[in-house]
Amino acid sequence: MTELTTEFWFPPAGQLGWFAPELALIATIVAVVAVPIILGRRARLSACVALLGVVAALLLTGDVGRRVAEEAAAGLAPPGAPPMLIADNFAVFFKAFLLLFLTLVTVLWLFGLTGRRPALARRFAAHSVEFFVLLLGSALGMMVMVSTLNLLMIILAIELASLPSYALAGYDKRDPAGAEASLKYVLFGAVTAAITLYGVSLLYGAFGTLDIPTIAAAMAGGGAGVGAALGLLGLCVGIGFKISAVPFHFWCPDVFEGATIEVATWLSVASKAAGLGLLLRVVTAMGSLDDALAITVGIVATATCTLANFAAYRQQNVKRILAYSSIAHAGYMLMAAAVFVPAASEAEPNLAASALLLYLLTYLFMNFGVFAATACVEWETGSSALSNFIGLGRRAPWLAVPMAVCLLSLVGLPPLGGFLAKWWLLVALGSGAAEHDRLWGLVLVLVLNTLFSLYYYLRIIYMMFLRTEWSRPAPLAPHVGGLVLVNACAVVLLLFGTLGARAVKLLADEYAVHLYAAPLARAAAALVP
Amino acid sequence: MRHALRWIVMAGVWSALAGTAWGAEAPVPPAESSSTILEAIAFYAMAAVALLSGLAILVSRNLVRNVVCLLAALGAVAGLYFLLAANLLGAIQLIVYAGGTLVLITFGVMLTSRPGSDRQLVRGWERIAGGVVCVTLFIGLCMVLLCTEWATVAASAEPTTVAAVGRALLTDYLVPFELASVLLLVMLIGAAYLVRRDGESGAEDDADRC
Amino acid sequence: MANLHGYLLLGAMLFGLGLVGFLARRNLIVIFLSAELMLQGVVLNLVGFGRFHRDLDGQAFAGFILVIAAVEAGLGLALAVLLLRRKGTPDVEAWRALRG
Repeated sequence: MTELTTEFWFPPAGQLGWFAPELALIATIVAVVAVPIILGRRARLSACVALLGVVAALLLTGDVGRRVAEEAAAGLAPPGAPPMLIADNFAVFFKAFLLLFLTLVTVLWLFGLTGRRPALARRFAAHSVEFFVLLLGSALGMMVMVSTLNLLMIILAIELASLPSYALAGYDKRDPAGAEASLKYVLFGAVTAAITLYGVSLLYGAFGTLDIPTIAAAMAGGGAGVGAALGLLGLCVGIGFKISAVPFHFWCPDVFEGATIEVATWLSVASKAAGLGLLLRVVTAMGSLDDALAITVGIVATATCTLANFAAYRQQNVKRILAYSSIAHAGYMLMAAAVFVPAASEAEPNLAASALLLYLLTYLFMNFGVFAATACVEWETGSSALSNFIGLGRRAPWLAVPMAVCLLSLVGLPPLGGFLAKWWLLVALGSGAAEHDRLWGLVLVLVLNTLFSLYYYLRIIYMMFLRTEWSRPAPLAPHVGGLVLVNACAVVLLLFGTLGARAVKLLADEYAVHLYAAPLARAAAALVP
Repeated sequence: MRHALRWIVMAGVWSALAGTAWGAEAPVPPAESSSTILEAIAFYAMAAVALLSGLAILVSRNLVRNVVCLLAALGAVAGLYFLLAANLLGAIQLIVYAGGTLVLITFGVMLTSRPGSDRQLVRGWERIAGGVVCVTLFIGLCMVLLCTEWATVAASAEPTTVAAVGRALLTDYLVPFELASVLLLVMLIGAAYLVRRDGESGAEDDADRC
Repeated sequence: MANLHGYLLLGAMLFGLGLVGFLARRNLIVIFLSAELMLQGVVLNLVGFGRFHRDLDGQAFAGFILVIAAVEAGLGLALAVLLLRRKGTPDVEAWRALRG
């Protein structure tokens, strides 16, 4: 019993420094709770504290990124054990991505306080502390999701990302739709979490370890039984739920429609990005599984984008259309993962990984632009029904034009960032198809789905600009801050597609290089003093 | 209702106390004894209790009965943990789960139970089809479990697991331990927010009911 | 048969019973009770494997699952009370306004 005190391990500051962004986020959570106790409960105060903390975390991520560029990678691990948390180029990209998006969502929430009708805004303002604690908590979970390869950490991170999201979906307690969204989300989440846990328990049983690289090595050594395959399938269920890949996408439209627009915005990009990051990490580590896993991912990707695009046709609510659109884009990004699997071992910049990172970056701006524009309409009119967008081109041209730009970018039309993203995805698929003929199928699916999706995106644009109503709707005075956000997104997308195209590609390439050149063995070596 | 609540709270407290006493005192069964008659009897008895309680949760329409059955199932599974030399886990299960979470659920039952709200979701042929699918899947799962060569290690002398697990939680598992604490903090605030009735709008909340 | 397979089968049965209950019942409380039962199956798996692997990973993991289960139960109950306050019934089928 006496040895208990002697063996206590506290992570050295040198190792902890690599995870300063996470620590900053935890400190922000505490600050959001503590500051109102001293300075009083004011909505703007909480938002500003959260914003400050998130920007600080973003700056710290930049610092970690600089160190990662110099020293490759590092991990947080007890002595003599594989790392629990990993800091490498890949993690830095996703952390910066999530924190940037978190900043945008916080700003959107801040604008919502003045943009909404006063009675509604008061209700939102009254619970700002809870909102930001939950939002920051789920952000922390997603950041851990993309920087770990330990099964226990993965499970905890998925839960930390999901459980606050369930509560966030029902954030507006007076809105029955929000309560229903929360209910459906939590029911779906609980059953997928249980299946994931069961799968993980089988993986642990088959290999006796929780470390994925060790498991992958054992699998490569021929130790993969049916039980292990079943376990891996269970893990994929959990990841698929976060990405909202097809058999697990049912929650997505209902939650987006029922939740408040800020929450829907957050889930639409962050949840998928974190899920994709985790999937790529697992897939990288399991590089030896190549064919079976690649084909499965390809089939899921095909089903995801095709079903989502067809389901979007008959929707009458813009948030629902956007939900299906986000599922379809998750499908496109899964295609990158499907190409990526066979080429896992290559050291040069991985086309597929670079395409995925570029796609995510573009997706952030186009999706945020459309959601912010929808938020402006919803704040003014009280709902996001498609009929509220009729004649928006005349009622609020400064809102309708950039929104149309973002929608066209989601389709993937030429001068915009979305085209570039799809283009590089096609290039990656094409180069992969040179080795595996089956990938031509994915190329075909991508092109056909882009055509299908044209219809429902153009339907919104048609409603905004061409549809004339016999009763002339009143002009709309959207919130100025919201207008700035939407227009900024449209400008960024134009830049991505024209002048900045090269810079974005180089950025994505840079983060795609070190990702696989710095395998985990080096990460593990870096921590031994 | 009130009697049932009192009864369940008492049961939770007593099982928790008994569990801690046992968890602290129980000798660790030697590893080689896994085939002794006594252990086999204990395993079957507790497995039967757990399974029957689980089945009762599935079919019983009485909410309080459901909760009591879950209590029995948790107790039986806790017994199995002791059988597996996971003393700390067994004690945690009895104290935190049976004594804490289940009392919380009981409060939930008392707060939410309404007559006529516990029908089955599926009926008629759906039930038969669902049953067939479930049984097939379940048999498949059992086949996988039985046919896989699980990597087991030969038996050796067992350390006292309470101390070892405690040490592991503060060394190897320090990072997840801290992450779990953040999860608890965040969800404490989240759950409290969801149930709290807002002061100004409490009256309206009642008026909103359908 | 108190060997590894016995524990695995029992874990699978508890998990299966919980899953069926989760999918077939409509009362929110019973649904969350079933979720607890599923997680018990998982924990039994982990502890069983841990015992027969002779390491502590399984037990430590199981402890964390108990934490997750408690959090899930707390959130589920909070939600049940919230929903009950709105519609006066814990029946999940009463909530089907969002569709399309």
